[in-house]
Amino acid sequence: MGSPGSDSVDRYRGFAQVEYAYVRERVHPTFDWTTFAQPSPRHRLQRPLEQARVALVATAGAHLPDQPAFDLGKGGDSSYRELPADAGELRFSHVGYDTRHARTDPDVVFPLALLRRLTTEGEIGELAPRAFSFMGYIPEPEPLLHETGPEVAGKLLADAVDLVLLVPS
Amino acid sequence: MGLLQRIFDAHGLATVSITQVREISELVLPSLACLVEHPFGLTLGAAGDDATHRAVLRACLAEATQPHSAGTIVDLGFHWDRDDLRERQLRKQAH
Repeated sequence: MGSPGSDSVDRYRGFAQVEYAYVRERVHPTFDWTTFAQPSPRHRLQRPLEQARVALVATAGAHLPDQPAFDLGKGGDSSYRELPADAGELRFSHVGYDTRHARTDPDVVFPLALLRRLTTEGEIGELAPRAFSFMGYIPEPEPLLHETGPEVAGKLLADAVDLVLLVPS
Repeated sequence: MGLLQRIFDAHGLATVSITQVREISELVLPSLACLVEHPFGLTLGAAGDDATHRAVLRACLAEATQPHSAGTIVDLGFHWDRDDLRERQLRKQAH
């Protein structure tokens, strides 16, 4: 893990460059992308999807009505919420996108209900007992990298999931 | 999203993700990402468009069964042509 040596926006291209400049100017002056030179290892799905236990992890800021909302301050929020696979009503708190569509149809960013339907229809073996929800604006990722992220990884392993599906917003 | 995926990859979990911006995934290099060029906040498609939601999810899950090498970004071929929301978002003129 590391960041290139200079603070120049020219290190990045496309939306990565636009977002870098925007966040540094308006929200978090020391923001930088966390970059890697090598890909993380890939572990193949060990059984057919029709037999697999699939877990949803999403960064749309979804939470249950009785769970605390995410912190929408400039410092971001690296915490997470656990939602049962049969979760019904959802709330969304996120600074980076317009949550109106998600409130109308949660499947657009948090497809737990759709995954339930695919399970019922036999396309997926089963849903993991819980899904995990983060809020995607995390300009200082150290707590995510060293605390909450590994904590959720441990819970996914404890749930014996075969595949983690990650959905951004 | 990619940072979380890297953590899960490091713990030995099989993962697949959706990405909406190729150049960000190229900075983070998770094990397997599926590019869907939809607007932020509409990752799987427009509200109520169940057919597209299913198509995106099926395509993404199907890639998890394929023998891609680590760091692969698969373009699933989904584009947004309903309006210019995505283009405005990419210029930070909408969110």
